[in-house]
Amino acid sequence: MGEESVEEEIKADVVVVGGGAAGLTAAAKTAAKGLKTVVASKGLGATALSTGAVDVLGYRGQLLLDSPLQGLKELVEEEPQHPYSLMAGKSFKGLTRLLVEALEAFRNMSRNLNLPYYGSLKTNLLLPTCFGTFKPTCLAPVTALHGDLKALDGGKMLLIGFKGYRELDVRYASEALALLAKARLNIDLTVEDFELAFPSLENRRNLHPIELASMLDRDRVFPQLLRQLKKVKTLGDFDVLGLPPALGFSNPAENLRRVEASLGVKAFELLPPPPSIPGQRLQLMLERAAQTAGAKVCLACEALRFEVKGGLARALKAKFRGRAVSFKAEAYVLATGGFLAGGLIVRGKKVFEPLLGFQAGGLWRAPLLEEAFFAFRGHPLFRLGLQVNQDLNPLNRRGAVIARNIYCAGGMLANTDYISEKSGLGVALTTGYMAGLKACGEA
Amino acid sequence: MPRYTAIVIGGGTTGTAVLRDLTMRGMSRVILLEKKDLGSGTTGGCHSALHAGMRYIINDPKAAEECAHENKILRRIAPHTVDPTNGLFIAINDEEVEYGEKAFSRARQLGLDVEWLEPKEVLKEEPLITPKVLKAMKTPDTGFDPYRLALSQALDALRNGAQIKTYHEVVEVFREDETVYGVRARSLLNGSLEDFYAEVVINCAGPWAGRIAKMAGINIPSKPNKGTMTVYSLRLVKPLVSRLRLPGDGDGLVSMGYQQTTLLGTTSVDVNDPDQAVATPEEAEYMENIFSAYVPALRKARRLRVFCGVRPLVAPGPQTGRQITRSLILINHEKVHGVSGLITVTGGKYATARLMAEESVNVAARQLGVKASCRTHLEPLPGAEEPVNTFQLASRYGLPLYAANKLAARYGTLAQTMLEKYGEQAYTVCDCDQSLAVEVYHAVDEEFAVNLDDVRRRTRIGMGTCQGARCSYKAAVLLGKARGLRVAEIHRLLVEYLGERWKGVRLVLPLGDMADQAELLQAYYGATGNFDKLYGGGKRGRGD
Repeated sequence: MGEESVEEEIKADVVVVGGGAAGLTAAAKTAAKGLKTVVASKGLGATALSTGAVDVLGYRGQLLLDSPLQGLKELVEEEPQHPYSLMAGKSFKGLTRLLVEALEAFRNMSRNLNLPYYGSLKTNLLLPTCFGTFKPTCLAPVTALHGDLKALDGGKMLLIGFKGYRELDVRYASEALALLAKARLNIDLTVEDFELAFPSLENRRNLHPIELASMLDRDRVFPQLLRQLKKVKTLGDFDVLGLPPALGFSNPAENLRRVEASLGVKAFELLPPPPSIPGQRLQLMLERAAQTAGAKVCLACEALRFEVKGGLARALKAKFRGRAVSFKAEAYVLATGGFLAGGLIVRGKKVFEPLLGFQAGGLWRAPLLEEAFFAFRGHPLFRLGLQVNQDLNPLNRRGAVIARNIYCAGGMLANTDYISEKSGLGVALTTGYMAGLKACGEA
Repeated sequence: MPRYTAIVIGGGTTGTAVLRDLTMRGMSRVILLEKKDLGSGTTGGCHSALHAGMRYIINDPKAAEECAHENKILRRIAPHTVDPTNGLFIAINDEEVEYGEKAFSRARQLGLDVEWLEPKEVLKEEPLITPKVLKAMKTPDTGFDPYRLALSQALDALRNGAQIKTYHEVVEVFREDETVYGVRARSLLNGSLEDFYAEVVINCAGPWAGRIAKMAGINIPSKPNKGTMTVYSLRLVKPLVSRLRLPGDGDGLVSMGYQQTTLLGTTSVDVNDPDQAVATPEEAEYMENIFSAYVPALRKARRLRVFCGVRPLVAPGPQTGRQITRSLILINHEKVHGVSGLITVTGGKYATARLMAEESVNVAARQLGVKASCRTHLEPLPGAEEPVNTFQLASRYGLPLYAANKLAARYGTLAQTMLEKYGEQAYTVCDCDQSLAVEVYHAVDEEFAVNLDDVRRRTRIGMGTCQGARCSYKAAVLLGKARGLRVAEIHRLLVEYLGERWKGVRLVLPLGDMADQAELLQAYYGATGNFDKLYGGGKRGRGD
């Protein structure tokens, strides 16, 4: 076969498919164990589009959870097929232990890479978004932490907008936040708003978040921000300052500290929808962590299909920068994400995982998308995905293991819906952590 | 009690054309009542094809002649709503070649500017057309923006003193003996009822015209007919592409300059109630199967949504759908039913709306004793007075040239006026289509926009490749500012709008094209915005 002869072979102990939160967490784990680890990543996935905060469990149905723990016990009992339940052997205690361990590993990593994350399973932070809404989340980067509404009852917040920066309208965000905090949380919060202009960007009509963040990384632009903020006369009246989520890429934690120190007031970045700078920082941080541990990250590498024989994956066929390659490893982590990331596809009214070619599992409930755009229980489509056993091995529709040396993690897993549960990144980090352990043969 | 010379029912392309014609003949005490938004009915469900008659040249010569005549006029009076490209009718088998030759000579007889192109030339210009093309004919058929045309007509009428009330649904037609003398309308915004009296009522309600006539005790053999269309991401071809055959399903592809989408249409299915017509994914699949023989790239293009419009067909006999003429239908109820004061104009094509207006207003003018003759074909519509220097606009307002070109291509000279008035708001809201914030202010202040769907029709915000993920919230905020709304109302409008657009996304999901986009939309507003929990709907579960 002509095609076979030009195919390049790449050998490793572990091949991770997918370079988002789940895959990179797994890769960091296996590489740290001294296993030769290669990550095949097509490009930026859903992690880079996220708010950068780590949700573990924010809601059960319509009920806002005071803490992830409050909902996890019930989840383990009622949803034995949920990845959280599966991994922990359906035991609440086991699940708590696993989550604590996985989140601790993540927090340590974040501290080492100068963007420390804070939070615990014992409470959900309620963080303000650029829409002026709030959302429950478990871990937040230090840059978003001081927005927690739970700590602000009776407080005063000032939201800062930047002239020409269209991703945040502070006037309506402040009105919404005060209204929703009172109506939904019974938290009294005074929110005012102020729009400042960067003198050097006066004529810019559309400041893109990426552009703005890159500029704030520069020593010439950042002091402008401090100078302009200092001009706000009433700054002393406020408990906390809400900023556009654009405080640079290279050292946002330090940038925030400088704002707080020079103004004498706590500050935080609002949580953004995509394009999200905090999401991209998290992506970069996870990549760096995996690389530091020794993993090789192959970008622009499109996985095509697994070769499975005798219940074991023998190779992963891929296209790496236009060349045909065959990855061969002892263990594989499959973490290609959901529909948005390309890990799941819809063909002929069915949902497929394209690399194994299997129809996705989970509870098939028509219609897959509810009639209402905002559905209380989420849309059934997003609960579909690859069905796995407690070792995270992929299962076919009859429940049989497809390959014993493939471990699945992240957005492609069935029976979880990060959008409705507010469990995004929490499921990814935990299943990624577990998949890493399994690939090391440790769990 | 306000008394009008004429009441026009229906704010689509036809109703606004009638209103304009009335005022241009000196009748300024006229009012238009539209039950929803201008251009939200048949106009909103339109294929965006400005016919020049080629499609009907063999089977419906009268409609072809009307289209040919009106196409020329519209290119003159409303160039800003018309895509400057042409039509390309292609043949891929002997039968179509034969049809094409017959059509060609008829077209020449009709004075249509048609010519044969070498298949090689065609493929060089349009590489996504099938290499199997045997013959290709260039025609004056083209794409146009139905909303902007209707709005330009409305704006002209307003300048001449007419009144327009949107979200006013006619619920009763007043008739005493054999004379219609007014209507009662209900405001859909606050539920209030209001009566309007006039010497003549002109029924331009399109597929709802039968319902209006019935209120006056008159039966019209109305045959509302659904046409379904698929929106594809990106512009696949420059000209309007159709095939050299009798009109059939899924036989035309239309795209517009400065818009990042292509439309494939249509089907033809009779419906009982125009309000209940829905498009189906099966229709989209069916049309793609047909037309991908002509443009194979359709197979790989991403379907963004499926939607439908309802044709206002009328036929007394047993004919249905494609058998019914697309020529205009003018019913002078005084002559036909012995009821004076009511005129119905329906049928026709978008291209012929101006002609429909001319003929119906001729009848009205005779009844009213007005001598002035029609001038709508002579004077340019607002925006079309002169060409716009887009380089100047771009540099004066710091816009990307693309955005300036697009603005001018849709609003003509109004682009200048808008930017002068709302210069501070000259920034892009929609990354896909480069729509500007000024357009939202303009839509609210000058063009009756009330909700986000109204804004979308006027600005294309939310109609591009991301189907509103990035721009819907921004547009909602701008709408709120322009209307002076509180945030709770803005969130309500946003939720309502996302729900409305969701219908089209749900329809294409089974086709496999929008699962990723559906996730992005849901993650954007749900996972990040938490709007799903704050304002969610649908089936309730525990803890609700």
